Amino acid sequence: MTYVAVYFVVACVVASLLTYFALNRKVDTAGIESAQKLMNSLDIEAFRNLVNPEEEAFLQASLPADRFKAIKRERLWAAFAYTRALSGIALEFSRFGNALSQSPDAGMADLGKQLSGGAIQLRILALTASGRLFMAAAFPNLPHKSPRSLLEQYDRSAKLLTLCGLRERSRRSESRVSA
Amino acid sequence: MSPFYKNLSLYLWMAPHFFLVVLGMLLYRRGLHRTFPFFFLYVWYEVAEFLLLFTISRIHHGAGYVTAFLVTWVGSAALRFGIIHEVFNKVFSHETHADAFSKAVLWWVTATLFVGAVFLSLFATGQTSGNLIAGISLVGRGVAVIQCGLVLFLILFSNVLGISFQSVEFGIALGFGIYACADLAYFAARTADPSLETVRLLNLLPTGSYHITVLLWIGYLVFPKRRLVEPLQPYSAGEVSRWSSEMERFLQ
Repeated sequence: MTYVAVYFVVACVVASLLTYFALNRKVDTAGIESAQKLMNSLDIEAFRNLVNPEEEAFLQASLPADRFKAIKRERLWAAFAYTRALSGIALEFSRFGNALSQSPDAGMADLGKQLSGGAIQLRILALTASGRLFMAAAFPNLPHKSPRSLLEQYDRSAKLLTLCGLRERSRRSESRVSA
Repeated sequence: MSPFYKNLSLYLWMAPHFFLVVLGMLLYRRGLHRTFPFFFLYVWYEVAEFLLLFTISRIHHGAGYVTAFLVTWVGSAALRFGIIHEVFNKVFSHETHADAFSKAVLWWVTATLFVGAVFLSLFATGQTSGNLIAGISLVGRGVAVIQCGLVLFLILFSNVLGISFQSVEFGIALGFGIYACADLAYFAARTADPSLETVRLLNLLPTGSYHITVLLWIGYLVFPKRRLVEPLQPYSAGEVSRWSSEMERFLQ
């Protein structure tokens, strides 16, 4: 009987979760300004410095071992916080890209698709980098890989977003002229 | 058996299949039989299965019916796996970057769920009578565990990656998820060898949930959620007034 009750509870929980997802499907929003604001909110240069292997090598050479270990741990925790923020931004970009891909303007729709694909890639990379940085922060003696591909993907997404912004601005000025 | 129960169970057995015919025609008219071939096949398979079982049940009860039920049930369960895979492919095929990654994750999740279902069948069964129905229920419960897990994973995973579902895809997945949950509860209860009264009540669970599922599919097909898009941000009042004063200046 206990097993039956457990299965019943599991079935109810899964059904409730599915109903919750069905009732709370998010509306994808298309607002270039808000997406750009979100992107600017992250100090990407600071993040680049935090995960720069050369900077880490410099710190290792100039600091005593125990001091370096403590600083390395702090830097890794900060980088971990950045990747989490980046992961959230990627999710918003993906929604923005999805919404943009429905645009009646074919060029914008294409950019939207590219942006959404890039954002998903960025999200996957950010999630994996978060895991790696968490492990590295927990065990600073272990060697860790710099999230270079994450930064490269971020640059690609940022370029696409700038392109979207330029296109939107030219669309607006065109509509002003035609009006 | 009260006439109310008899009518209700007959209604819950027949009505979903009537609605499935409507669904099958809707899918065909909208050209979705090309997009979701497994789902389209499943819909008509279920209708044919019902006609066969209904005819057999009217002619004679017993071994013939049980055999037909078992054979068609296996086909139905296999098709449901095919549909979940089909929806998964449809959702992730647009996302070339995530496609390979998601396929690898799906493979691992399916393998884990399969091993988990086998493990649960071996070690977490409780007291069973060991008869044919209990045996079928054990297998059915395992299938329901896998299908529940796959649908939940599909919806959670796409949410985590920010991949948006189209309405029809989401409706199909949601319907199967809810039906698999009801199946899980039903088969789990049947493995415990319940009394005849409880069995009668339990029999309403899969048929009732199937009715809801079919209506859900029709609902998502007929009333798809409007495009999940908000218009691009309109011009602000400041922009419009600046534009207007520029225009006035130009006209002077």
